[in-house]
Amino acid sequence: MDCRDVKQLLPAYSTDDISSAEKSDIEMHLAACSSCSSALEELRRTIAHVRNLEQVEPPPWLTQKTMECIRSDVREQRQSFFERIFGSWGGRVPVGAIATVLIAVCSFFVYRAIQPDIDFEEKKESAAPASVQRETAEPAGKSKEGMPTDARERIQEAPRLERPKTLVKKNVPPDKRESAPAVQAPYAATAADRERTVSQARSGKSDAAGRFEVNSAAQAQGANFERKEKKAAAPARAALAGRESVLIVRAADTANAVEKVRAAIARTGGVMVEQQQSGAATVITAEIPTVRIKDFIGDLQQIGLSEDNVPVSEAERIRLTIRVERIP
Amino acid sequence: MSNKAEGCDSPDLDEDGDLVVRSQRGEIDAFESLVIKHQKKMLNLAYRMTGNYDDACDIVQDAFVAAYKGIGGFQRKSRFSTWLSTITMNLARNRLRQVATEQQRHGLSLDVPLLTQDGEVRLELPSSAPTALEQIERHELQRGVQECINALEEEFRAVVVLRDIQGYAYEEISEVLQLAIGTVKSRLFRARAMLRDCLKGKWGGL
Repeated sequence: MDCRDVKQLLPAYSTDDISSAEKSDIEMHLAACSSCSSALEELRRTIAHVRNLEQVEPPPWLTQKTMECIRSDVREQRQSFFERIFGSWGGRVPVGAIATVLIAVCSFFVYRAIQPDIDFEEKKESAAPASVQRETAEPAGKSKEGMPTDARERIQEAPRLERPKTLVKKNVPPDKRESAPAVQAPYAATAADRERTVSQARSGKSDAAGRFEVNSAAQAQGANFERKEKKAAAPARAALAGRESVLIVRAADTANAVEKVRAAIARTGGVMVEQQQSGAATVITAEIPTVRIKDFIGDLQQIGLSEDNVPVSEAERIRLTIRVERIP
Repeated sequence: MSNKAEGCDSPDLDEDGDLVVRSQRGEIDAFESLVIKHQKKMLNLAYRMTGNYDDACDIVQDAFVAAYKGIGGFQRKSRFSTWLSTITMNLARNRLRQVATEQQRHGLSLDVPLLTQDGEVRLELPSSAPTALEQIERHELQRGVQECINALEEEFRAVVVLRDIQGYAYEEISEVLQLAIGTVKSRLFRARAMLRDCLKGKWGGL
């Protein structure tokens, strides 16, 4: 062990923080080396100087001041919830914040108070069958007195069938949309009359019995009726919401088209309700599963569906009337 | 100054156990007893670390307030004095860093007088708090030692203060500074050598 090694170990040796083996080696070296012995002595004096540093006394106020701080903290912790909330505003009440909260709460209750009325209106509208229907069918300036009695009765007695709530129209020009009620309104009548009504609506003629003069009268009324019709468009559509949907398919070969329609009904899991012949047209009534209605409409479009109305309903099945006509 | 016996840092042997438990129950009087008992030791710890008496008083005050706030979570795995020393040392080291940053920012030197609106003042050095009864020679000696301690880097200063001035056991220092015992010893031995060299340079011999 040379001087360099010993001097590195002297700080530990000076306070006896060293192994016994190293201690004996150092002591052997120190006995023969005055330089290292002198270094050890300097180190011991240094440690002594450090250890002899006087202790300073705390100021008399230190305990009191410390405890004042602690007690102050304790008081703050014990402040009530309200004081903690509003303490940060220096005791001032946050008027703006309170007013905002009050306005929000009032708005919520006002909305809650109005909301049931809106729902009720919607329900009334969708369930309003006969009265809205009559209004739709009646031309301007004409009361129901101008209509044959049996037709009025039929309209009034129109059964409330479980039908699609709304008729979603895609890509239908506004003019078509507006004229729809004139065509669809008669379908509020019974199923037997429905096809005739459609025929009349499209041809503008009344049948021999003179029933369903609505459209004839409307034609006589001219432009006035058109305006009325436009005004009545919305309620008529509303009336349809609870009714059966009518789809018109036009094809050159009606017999082939009818077969394809029947095949489409079967393919989509539908059920044929009835098939009737109405002049040159064939009227098919069927019930289609709601979940397959889009497929069915797609099939009809391939056959020759004139419009792409897709009935919407929450019911499991939708009853549809498909009228197959020859292309004029 | 006698060092504590090493390995006695057991909570079971904590003489402050009863006062700590009562303080944890919210008895402020019990905590006040702890303040009175430990404030001098903590003050000297902070004073030797910072070298500034006023700073040391502030540190001790903050340390006790922090200890009271945290005493509910003190699990008595170590002695209260060790836990309190850890808080005090952390605050003292934070203060040292803060002072160093301020001096760096303002380009201040401890030897250069500071001009203020009230006239010229000198930055207070630890040894500038002498009592009137102290002899000049003793005063100069103490001043020189503290200046050499102040010249040590923080990591070396901490072990010298804790071991050679305050007499903590190596295990306790290891706990307070969160260092391995071997690291504590090696730092201490290096610090002692640096102090010796500093004092020799200052006084021309020991």
